[in-house]
Amino acid sequence: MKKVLIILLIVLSMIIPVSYSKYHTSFKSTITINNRKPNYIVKFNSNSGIGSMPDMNLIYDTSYNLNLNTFTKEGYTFDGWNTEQNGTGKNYQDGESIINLTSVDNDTIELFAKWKNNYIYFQIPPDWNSTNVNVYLYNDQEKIYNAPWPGKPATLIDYQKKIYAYNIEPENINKYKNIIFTDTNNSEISAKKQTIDLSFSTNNLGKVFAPLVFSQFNKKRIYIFIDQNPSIYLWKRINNSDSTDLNWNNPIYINKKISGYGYEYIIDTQKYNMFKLISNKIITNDIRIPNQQDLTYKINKNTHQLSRYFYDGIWYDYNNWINTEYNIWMKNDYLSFIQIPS
Amino acid sequence: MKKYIHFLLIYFVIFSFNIIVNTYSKYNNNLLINKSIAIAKWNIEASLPNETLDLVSGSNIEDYIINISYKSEVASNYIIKLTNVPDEIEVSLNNNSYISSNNNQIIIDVRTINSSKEILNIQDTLHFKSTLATPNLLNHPIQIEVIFNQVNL
Repeated sequence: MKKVLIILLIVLSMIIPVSYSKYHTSFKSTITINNRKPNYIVKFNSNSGIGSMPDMNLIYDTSYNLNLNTFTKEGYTFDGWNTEQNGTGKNYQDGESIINLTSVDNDTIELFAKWKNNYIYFQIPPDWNSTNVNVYLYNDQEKIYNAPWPGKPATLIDYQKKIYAYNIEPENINKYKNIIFTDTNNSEISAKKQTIDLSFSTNNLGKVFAPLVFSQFNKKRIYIFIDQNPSIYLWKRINNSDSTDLNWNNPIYINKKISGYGYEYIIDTQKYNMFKLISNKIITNDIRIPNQQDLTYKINKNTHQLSRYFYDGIWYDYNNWINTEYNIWMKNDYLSFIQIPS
Repeated sequence: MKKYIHFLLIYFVIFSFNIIVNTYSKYNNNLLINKSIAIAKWNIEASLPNETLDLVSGSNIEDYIINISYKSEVASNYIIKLTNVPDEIEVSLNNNSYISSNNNQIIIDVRTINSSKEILNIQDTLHFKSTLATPNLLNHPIQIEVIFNQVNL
């Protein structure tokens, strides 16, 4: 019995501790981390220009200045960079400070050169016969006589369609906003001029502009220097021998005072070719609006009739001319802003 | 009375020996397996390579693969413990993401593996990712430990 008890104790002493112990094991190692910022490449595309520029290898979260452009394109001026070839992406200036153009490692960002067309193509009005056209650059449409004088000639590139090309100096594209061109056969700069907005050329990346349409050319600016506020009656006479008048009952009131006692009105010369002034003191005779030429009328203050007119450098007198007149200047200098075809 | 004292002495000698063997066996898998008196067969091996992971902030994910050979007559808790983990490192396993706690540790209670008389080949992949845009860590060591504990019965 005692031996059995001893053996039982020995067996229990070996089993019980093992039964209550837990299995446990582990394995160890080391993972080494190298954590760096993304790298990316900026490539420069000449976008039909010539030359070459090295890529820039850049690191994320670090500022850089873009390399200065060395591409060139004949007849065009470099106008910065764009992320899209057609200029619809994000713009960057030459040498602009940039940071984080992408967060994708090993990404390549391509910047396309933008080019301004240095040439403006325009079509002169069909009634212009001259093959000599001068171009004037200016900024303020109300101060056209500040334009540089004399203007630079434009080049006739299509005789039948009367399309001219004018090369704008790169420095003038941003300096001037508008352009005037005149027929150099006319003695006065104001004889025939049209304006176009230079800014359109900056939207263009090398396309040839469609011929421009002078939709508002047939208008005339009339200055009336008079100490009253007259109504202006406009109508159309078919021809000189025909007394058929249209639109006679269509008074239009001058509403823009331009100086101490002057008034200004712009007349559509396709709709009207005759006018007269009527106030409580004066009724002028019928006055013909000249077709193209500038004209200055003088009206006798006493008789209210035309007394003389100035045309082509010469004063022509009516019979009742005396030296007391109202002045009416009619000028073909209505500034027509041309809609750029889309 | 002397006889009983004699029995008790023998008992405690054997008991003490058993305690020593089992305590040591917790840290030595093979010793326990080969011990003839063990109840369960317990044969686990894990392959944990020493690996360098090149992480690029905000863009790439690097994988670390753990291969396990598992054979056990008891169920086990499978745990992965990472220490010295920087704040900007995110670790994910099985679509669960983990970032380090205050003590720079990540402990992942992976799952319970049932007992198996056949060898199970288990593979798990840890995904390492950098969450901040601007860190620069060079040769930063993270200790990884794969732990198996017998499930309490």
